Amino acid sequence: MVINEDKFEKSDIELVRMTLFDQENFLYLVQRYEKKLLRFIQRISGLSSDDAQDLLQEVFIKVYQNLNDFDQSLKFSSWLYRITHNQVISNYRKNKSRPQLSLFDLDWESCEQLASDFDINQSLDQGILKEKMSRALDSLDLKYKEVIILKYLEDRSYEEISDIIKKPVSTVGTLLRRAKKSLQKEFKK
Amino acid sequence: MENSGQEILDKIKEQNIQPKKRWEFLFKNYLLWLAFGLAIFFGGLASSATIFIFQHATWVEMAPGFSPLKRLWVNLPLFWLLSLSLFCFLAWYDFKNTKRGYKYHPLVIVLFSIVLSMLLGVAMYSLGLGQKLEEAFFRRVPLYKQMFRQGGRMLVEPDKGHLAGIITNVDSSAITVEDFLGRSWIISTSTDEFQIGQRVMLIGQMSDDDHFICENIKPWVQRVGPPPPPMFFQP
Repeated sequence: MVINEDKFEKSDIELVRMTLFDQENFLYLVQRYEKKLLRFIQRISGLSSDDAQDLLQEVFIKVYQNLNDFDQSLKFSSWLYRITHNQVISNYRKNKSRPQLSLFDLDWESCEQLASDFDINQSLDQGILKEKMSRALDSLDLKYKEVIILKYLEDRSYEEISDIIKKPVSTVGTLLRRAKKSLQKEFKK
Repeated sequence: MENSGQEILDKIKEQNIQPKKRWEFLFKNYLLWLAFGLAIFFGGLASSATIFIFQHATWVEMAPGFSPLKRLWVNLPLFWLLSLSLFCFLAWYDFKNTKRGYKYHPLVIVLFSIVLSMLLGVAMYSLGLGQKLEEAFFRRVPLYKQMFRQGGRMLVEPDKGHLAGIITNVDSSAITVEDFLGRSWIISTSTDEFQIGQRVMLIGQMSDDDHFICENIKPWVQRVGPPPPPMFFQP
């Protein structure tokens, strides 16, 4: 397929319309979001790189099938993240495997940011702090882990998180407050 | 990852995957709204029957001797309240699954459904639907009749002068009432206002095993319209 550089400048909605007209245009949407979504999948599920790639493929196929369901009152990225989130949950239930946050995924900047936002002691050695933080995150309930990941690692707003996990904004706030307490408690163990 | 986009596209072409048609999503959303509407409608019917029972129950004045708990238990239209709860739950479930339903707190949706059902219930009650529904259910729905009988049993104390049951026979000068415990009683009274199948409450005195001297007899719920004259025992 010949890549048209101009198409990379198109907005998400324009690319969706173009894809519905000609499926080749879907490539531009995939290329725009594949890295972000893969990272999100690995963060939330802790799957290996290969498994995460497979899941990412399923996600994009689902996105393609449901393009006519995209509600333009939402951000397209929120809609993508929603499908990804649902696919991860579905995969988790199907395989009944306990998701584990892989240590490599939590970069130092994110770890530092989390420690600062959650009033966690940052005076520890970098490696130890990162490991403790990863283990603390891993031991959280999925409903708390996903909101922490979306807010602090994926940098999503409350409104976007609400659209992704399909819960009211007030519930997102409550979940984040409880997640913070849980994380602080797990970190101290 | 470099060629993953192309791999995905190739897979889509290979499996001939197509975007679902827009009408499929619209149809699903309309179905959810229809289901929500139906849940509210049936909730309204349940509310109208509840209002009818609360507004027209005559037994309250007929049971001064009963404990508050007994009065509450017997007066509670449990079947209709449970039905209303069920329909409000269904309304909540349908609403939250619509495109934007998730934005609202579950409590808000539930309260909204209850209020909407009750407002509709008031309108239906004023059209007489509450009464028609309640009577139709008593005649035709065995479960409802059974639940009614169960509640009514608490009011059957012939030795204490309380009786409640269903009229099974109407003569020129007497009616036969089968109480909610299954016993039949012959009550001498004027019979103009009564008909077979009607539920009644009586205050009086047990004269023997199958006769009851009635001091006051009233239908279980007062029919809408001009109330019938009070029925007193005429010796």
